[in-house]
Amino acid sequence: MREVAVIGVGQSSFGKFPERTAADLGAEAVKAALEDCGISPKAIQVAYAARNYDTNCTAQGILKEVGIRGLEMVNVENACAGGATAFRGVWKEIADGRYDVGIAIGVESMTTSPIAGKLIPPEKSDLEGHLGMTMPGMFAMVARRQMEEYGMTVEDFAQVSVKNHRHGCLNPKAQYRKEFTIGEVLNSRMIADPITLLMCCPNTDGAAAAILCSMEVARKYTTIPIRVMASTLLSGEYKYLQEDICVSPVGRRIAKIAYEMAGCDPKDVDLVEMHDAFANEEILRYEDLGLCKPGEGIDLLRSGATQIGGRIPVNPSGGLLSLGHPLSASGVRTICEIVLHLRGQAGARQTPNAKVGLAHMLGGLVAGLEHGAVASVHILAR
Amino acid sequence: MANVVPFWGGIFEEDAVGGRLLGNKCKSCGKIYFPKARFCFSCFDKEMEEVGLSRRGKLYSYTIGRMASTHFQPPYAVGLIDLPEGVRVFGPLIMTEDGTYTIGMEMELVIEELWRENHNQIVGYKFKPVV
Repeated sequence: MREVAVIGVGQSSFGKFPERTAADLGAEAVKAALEDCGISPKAIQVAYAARNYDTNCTAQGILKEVGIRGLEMVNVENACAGGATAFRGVWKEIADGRYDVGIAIGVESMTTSPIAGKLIPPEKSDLEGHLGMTMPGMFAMVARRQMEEYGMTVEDFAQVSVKNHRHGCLNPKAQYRKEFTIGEVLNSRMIADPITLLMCCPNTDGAAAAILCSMEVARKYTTIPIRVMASTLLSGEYKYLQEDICVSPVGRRIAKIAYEMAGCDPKDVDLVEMHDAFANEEILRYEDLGLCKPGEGIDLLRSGATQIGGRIPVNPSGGLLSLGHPLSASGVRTICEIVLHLRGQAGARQTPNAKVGLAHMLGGLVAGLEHGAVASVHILAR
Repeated sequence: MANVVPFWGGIFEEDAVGGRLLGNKCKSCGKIYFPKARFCFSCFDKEMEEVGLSRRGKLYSYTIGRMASTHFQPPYAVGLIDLPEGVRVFGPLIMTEDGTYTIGMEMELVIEELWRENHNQIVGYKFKPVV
């Protein structure tokens, strides 16, 4: 297996753009990634693109806008981990020696999708969707258990949103650059008790792209190639409505696999970008990723360690909560953010002297499987 | 007269006593599933038999939806109920007067209209607190 590097990253504007097509958003991200490393569009040999809604030849539609055609293009859907799946697809092609240079794209136009302005339901043929299951509803039921069993409070959940919105204020690409108080988060509109509007990620249109290549090729384009230490993807277990819904079996397993592959421990990680679709979720993922011991996620949050300037900043980009969550874009976008920090180019939100970063995605509700039908962890290092 | 149509076939029934869910059981290891499993996810045996599940269980968690879901207008309550067979079921809850529920409270299954669609009355299961 060959060593693979990320040499170029790019992100489109994130926000609500009902007048813009997915191809337009995707092209903005791809152009930014090409310019980031100064590579010619002609050098791209393979492309993977992820999209959840209205997907049809996504890669072809985006790449024709920037002069890339006539090469192997693969389009994927994998719930919130779609972007991570596309990134891993390109990583595999290069690691296996099939190609030397490729591009991973994630894109979503939520405002023009069939679920615009709605709560995301499970897949149409899913039993629970008919009975009133929604993503916020699921996380609200998880939140009630966190309060019941682990002594968490609604103020704790609000604190995650306050933290990530504060981070988002430092990110020019964020959809919402506005600070909120705990009171404002708690008093925002109730979506599914106890989850309020400001504890939910917004509907977002946007795209992200990353250019990967073999380490040999990388040295031609950059003096700071970012190494992909671990690329992992795993589907959920037959653990339907798992025994403790606050724990993600697939999330824990994939973290272990990723650390083994990268040859490092959670304590070696300098920053994390993760799936914080709902504020209460972030606290659970601290534990899944081994940033603290099981049951101590709430202590880690309260200690302030996960804010910018803390021991292990989590979601310095603003996270899905403030930066926004164009579903399939997020899995690429989190990796882009890690790359910026590892290069020392993250501006006001820079993690000092970051050497190792972790990007996490988890998603998908499928009746019969644990909730979180897919998980992905990537570990990158400079 | 509206036709009464189950929202999903073969997963619940109503008899003289009331409603109950229909799950299935692995003939080899005895593990019980709802919704029915095509084979045992635990021991992978293929021999499964249909079983009626307990009408009562305990509330594991719940939420009140304040935005519309596929078929329900807000406010609507949904929850997870742990049945004695070791099965956790998701379903709508009958709204209590003050919209409060307690984790661990006993819940009972009832068969009711879920929504109406083209003159059809779509029925399914809900859970209500046992008083």
